[in-house]
Amino acid sequence: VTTQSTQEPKTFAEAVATLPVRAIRRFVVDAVLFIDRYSQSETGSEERLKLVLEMSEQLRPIPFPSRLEPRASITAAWREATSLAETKFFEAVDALLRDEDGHWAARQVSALLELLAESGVVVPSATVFLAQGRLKADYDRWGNPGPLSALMAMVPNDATSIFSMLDRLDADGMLAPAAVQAGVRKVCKWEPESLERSLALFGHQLFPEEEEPDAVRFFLEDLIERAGSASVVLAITGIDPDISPKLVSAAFGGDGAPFGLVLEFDGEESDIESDTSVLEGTRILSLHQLGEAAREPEWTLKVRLLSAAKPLVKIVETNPSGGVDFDEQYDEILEHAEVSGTPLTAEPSDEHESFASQFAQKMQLRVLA
Amino acid sequence: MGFDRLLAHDRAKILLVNLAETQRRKLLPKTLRKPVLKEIHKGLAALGTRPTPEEILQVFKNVVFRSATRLQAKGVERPADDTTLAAVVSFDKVRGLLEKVLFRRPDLKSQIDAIIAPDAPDATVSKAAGIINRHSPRMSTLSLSEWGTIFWAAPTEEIDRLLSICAAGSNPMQVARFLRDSLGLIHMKFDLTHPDRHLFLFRAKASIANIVADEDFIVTRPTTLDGWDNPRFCQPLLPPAPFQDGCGMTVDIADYKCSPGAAEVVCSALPIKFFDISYLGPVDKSSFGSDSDFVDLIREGQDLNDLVDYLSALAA
Repeated sequence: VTTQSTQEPKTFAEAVATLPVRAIRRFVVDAVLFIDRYSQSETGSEERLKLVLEMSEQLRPIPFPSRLEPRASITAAWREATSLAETKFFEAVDALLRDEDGHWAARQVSALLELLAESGVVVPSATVFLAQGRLKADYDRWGNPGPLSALMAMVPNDATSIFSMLDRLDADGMLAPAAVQAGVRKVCKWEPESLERSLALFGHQLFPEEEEPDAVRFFLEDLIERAGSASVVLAITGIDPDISPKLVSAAFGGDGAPFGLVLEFDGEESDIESDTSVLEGTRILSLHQLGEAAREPEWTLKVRLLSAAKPLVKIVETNPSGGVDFDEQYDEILEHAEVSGTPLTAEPSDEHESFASQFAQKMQLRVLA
Repeated sequence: MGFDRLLAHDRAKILLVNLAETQRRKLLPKTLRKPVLKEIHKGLAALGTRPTPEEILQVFKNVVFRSATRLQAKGVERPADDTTLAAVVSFDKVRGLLEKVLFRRPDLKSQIDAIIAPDAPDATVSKAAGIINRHSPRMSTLSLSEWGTIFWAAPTEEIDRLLSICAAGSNPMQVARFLRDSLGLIHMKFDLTHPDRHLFLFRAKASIANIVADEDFIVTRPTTLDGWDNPRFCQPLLPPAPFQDGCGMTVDIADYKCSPGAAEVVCSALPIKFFDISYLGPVDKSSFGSDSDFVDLIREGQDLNDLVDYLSALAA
């Protein structure tokens, strides 16, 4: 009769907890080299199968089920390892990045960073700085922004650390849009109250010159999903539009913009600038109704003029299809924001009141400006 | 006991029970049946009279990887030609596809970076489906199976049946979990804060016959040699399994169940251009329940050594 095993197989995390840092480092090196070779091999090739077999023996006890991509097996194991033996695991990564004699190609350093980022672990700032140092030569030579978003994903989840990393990248001439976007996304998720500051500080390098409007819109929608509409609209209206005209335009201008600037007039139409005749007979409109001009950065100037001329300027979310359902939105306006100081006609919740109050403050400043 | 923590003894036994059933029902082609069995027997014989469960597992792994079987769909039974297929996959495969898209379309970097960010919101991750759908027709080499040469699927009508069961009042998380459990996807045991918890549905746009007309495509009922590394893979059909011709049957891994899940097949790798991709949702529960019933089922069967002997006799 076969003796039944009474011990559960050890997991990678359990192994990390008992192994010396040097051995953990070897594990990390082997995993990175494996993934590097794997990614260079052909899908479904003999070489790829051999690599997985080799790795499943070499990296035991990490399991490599055939229905899961090997890199997912590795990142899951790393994630578990950091939850059980975080200090030792990071010591191993740190030691690895300090080793200048490792003869690792930039591609392999990138693979390490991408695996760490995919693991969803955040590493100490000092280790991220080390990683950034290892990438610099490659960036200077090739300008490859590929691993920068992975680098930012590893930064601790607080605005100070994120800004510090972006500052460092800036100082080293590595502040590529990919890094700024990753940083802003992260701020948005973990510290949305610092979003405006992040845009003010780094927004000028948020998008490359040639960035398509669709990509900007995609980025904006991601921010809204992360931080909520109120935080995003407050942050964008808080910065100088010249910092990131693309972002401001994506937020308020054109069809499909997530926000519409809604103007309400209770004065005479003659008070309005002549080129805004589109307003004729309209009490509420979204910015895209201003026409082509609204797609340009100058629209903000028009809005300022309109704001100064008229008492009420409000921002609401447009519906997902991009248009504004006025009947539905009007109720929402009354709930959301009252900029002129006129009492609200609907009872606001505390949350809305706070939003209205902050928003009113910002818009008043704009009007005064 | 969770099935992911099965003892090597149980896993080895499941493998041997499955292999015995595969042989008994002649689910492998003649050309493969004997050689594979001989190879496994040779591996087991080399272990001596008292092989450990770990050694038995290793023999299987070696045979599957090194022999002529490799990771290809090998069964002899196959579903009807007019069947269409669908596969539920996790984000780890979708990420790979996005990176391939990015290689060809570097202008999509900011969008793809947002989707693969470790803390990406659900709504952002869901946009991966649209990006791949838009670009897959021009990416004929992009495959659903990255490292092996097979992928697992179910008849589309089976997936629709499952979706209809959980449609009323279910949120995306419940739908994703229900499909994960019904399809017995034990490898989808994710950290609930990690992007890999997101599930996607790949629906083939054409029937098997139409795909075969265009591709060197094989689809068969799964055998032990396909499901060797899944300790939940059960070759014998669990009663009262509603049997679908040419298909195997998953074992439902939902809490406290040990029942048939859904019809399933295994296929050769297929270019992404054949699929429409949609987002299902994130799995909201990382664990599945006790599998004690299933383990009991296995433990009540023959002894491990008896199984080894039985297979040796078959191979002789």
